Amino acid sequence: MSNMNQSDIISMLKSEIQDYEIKTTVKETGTVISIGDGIANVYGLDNAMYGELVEFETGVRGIVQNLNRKTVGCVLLGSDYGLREGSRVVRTQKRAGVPVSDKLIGRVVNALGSPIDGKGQIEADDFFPIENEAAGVCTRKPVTVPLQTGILAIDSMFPIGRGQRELIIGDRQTGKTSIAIDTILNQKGQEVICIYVAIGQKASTVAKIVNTLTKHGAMDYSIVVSSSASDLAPLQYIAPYAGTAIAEYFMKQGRDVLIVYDDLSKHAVAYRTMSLLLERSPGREAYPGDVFYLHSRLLERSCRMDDEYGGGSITALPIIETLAGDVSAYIPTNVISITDGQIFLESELFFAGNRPAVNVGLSVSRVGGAAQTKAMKKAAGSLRIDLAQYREMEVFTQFASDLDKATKDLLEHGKHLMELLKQPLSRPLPLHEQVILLVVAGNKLFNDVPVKEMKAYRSDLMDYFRAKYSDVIEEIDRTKTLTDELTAKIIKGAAEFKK
Amino acid sequence: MISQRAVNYAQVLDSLKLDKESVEAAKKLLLGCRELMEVLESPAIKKKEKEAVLDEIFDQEMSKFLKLLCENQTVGLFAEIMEAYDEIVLEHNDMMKARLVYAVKPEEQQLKDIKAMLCEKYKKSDVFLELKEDASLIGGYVLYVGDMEYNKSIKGALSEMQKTLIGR
Repeated sequence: MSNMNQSDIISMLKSEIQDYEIKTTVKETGTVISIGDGIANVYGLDNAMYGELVEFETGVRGIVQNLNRKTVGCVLLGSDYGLREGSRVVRTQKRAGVPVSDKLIGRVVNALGSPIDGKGQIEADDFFPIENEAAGVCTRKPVTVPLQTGILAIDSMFPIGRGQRELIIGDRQTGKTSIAIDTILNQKGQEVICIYVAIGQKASTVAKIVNTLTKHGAMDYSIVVSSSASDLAPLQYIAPYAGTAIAEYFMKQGRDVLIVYDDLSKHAVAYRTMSLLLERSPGREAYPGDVFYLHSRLLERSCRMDDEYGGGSITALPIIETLAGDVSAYIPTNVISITDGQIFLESELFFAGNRPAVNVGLSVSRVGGAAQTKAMKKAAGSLRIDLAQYREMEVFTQFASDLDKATKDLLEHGKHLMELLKQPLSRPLPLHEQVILLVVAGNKLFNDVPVKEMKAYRSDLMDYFRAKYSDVIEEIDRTKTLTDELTAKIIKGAAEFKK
Repeated sequence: MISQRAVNYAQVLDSLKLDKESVEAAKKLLLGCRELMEVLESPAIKKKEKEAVLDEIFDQEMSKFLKLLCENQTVGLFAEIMEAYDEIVLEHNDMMKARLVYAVKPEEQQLKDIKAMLCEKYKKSDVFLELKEDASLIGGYVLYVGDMEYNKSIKGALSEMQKTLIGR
């Protein structure tokens, strides 16, 4: 288009106008009877469907959300400027959807799939409805392939499989988004398309995340769907569904997709706003009665398809923000029960410097165990139990001098494990590094290293392994198993390094 | 816009089987005389006084119906009730209502053709066609039947062409 000159455009327009055939258009119309707060009540549209797109006379679109006897309630997907009582509304006979194509990769789009990164239009290959039925039982396959997050604490104790829904839950400022972003960074070269859906976030936060992804080369396989805090509640409401529709497009091609919903608490709040304005009855915490279904129908669309049906998968990492660590609030309990496990982050751990601040006791992965690599399963061994014992005994550390040797050893081992699980931002660990560190820690070879020197020590140890034991690294990455000989070799290497 | 409440009252009025003239006369009188409507709507005027006025003006059955509206404080709905009632009557007579907005008044034959087309499409024996002129259509006409809009006007064609050209 850019290389067309003025005369080309004029002749094109002329021919377009000359060839234009005047036809009788048949439309089903309604009339706005009241409008305000992004909600329009429309008289007429007798045959409108739930979830159908309608077009107002200013060109703004809306979605039918309430079907009454004589009227329909619509949520507006744009400004209500110029609309008033008596404005005309036309049915489009289409369900709300987003344009999808491979060209979405690397782009930042809004909840309607339109680009907002200033890199030009995106050519659409297809149009996917935002609300889609989840895959049936017979079309699915069990979760058996791991999705490495690159975070030692998660991959070792709460492994995530492709097709799983793992909730990331915690108070504000506990590193929830960081875990999701690190997971996206770790998918480089793993043939996984990543979709980050920002719901009700500050635009500056989204810009920062896009920058981080770009800096680490993750935008090459990622898409950001953003519906920021300044967007209308209906747009925030449809954003995760739009993200999932894009994910389904890739899943249908047999590809693996990772989708992060950041965060579903704000999504529920947007839905509450919309429902109250639509005059639906408020229930607990003023949420409408179908707030469970709101999230269950969204997360149910994440699955792993059987090979017969393409074999793709959608792994979902929904994020929920709690208030003062209260996991028993309405939305957290709902999403906990929907997902296949949760990673619980704690403020106390975060401020004590244990980052990622994963609470080992409250976190769980219900299906990931089957997806964990054999090497990781073997290396992680009793890590979770050791940490639980340490947490139990931790209170006795102040009586250090009066403790018996066994307890002292347990506390020392625990301290080293806690130190080992600390991981800086944007530094996902590859599988071999995680396995080697876990084997060394499991055999208590770190215990005589002063805790403060652990960081430097483990880094030097890995350098040593890369230089002297590259065969071990290569074998772990290739076979993804940990044989007894390999374990012995790692222990030997660690002992050699110590000398 | 006809509310469900107005439809309910219209159905009641229809079930009273009043003669057409009596309903038409009441409609003309009430909708044409604002002062009378104000009296019937006013909460400051006693019920008995309103009833006396109604008994004086209307026949027994119509008066009964209007008394009910006064008692339920729904006299304000009268215009809507009449609209709904007209639709019910049309339905009983196997007729339908349509509105034709045009730039240039169609010829009698064209109107007949439109009516015939509607009768065939909606399986009705006759059509009550409301005519209205609107010069802003430039040419052609727009036909409204219920929620449906059949647009064969120049204005409509230009707007469709605009949509095609800007790819919306």
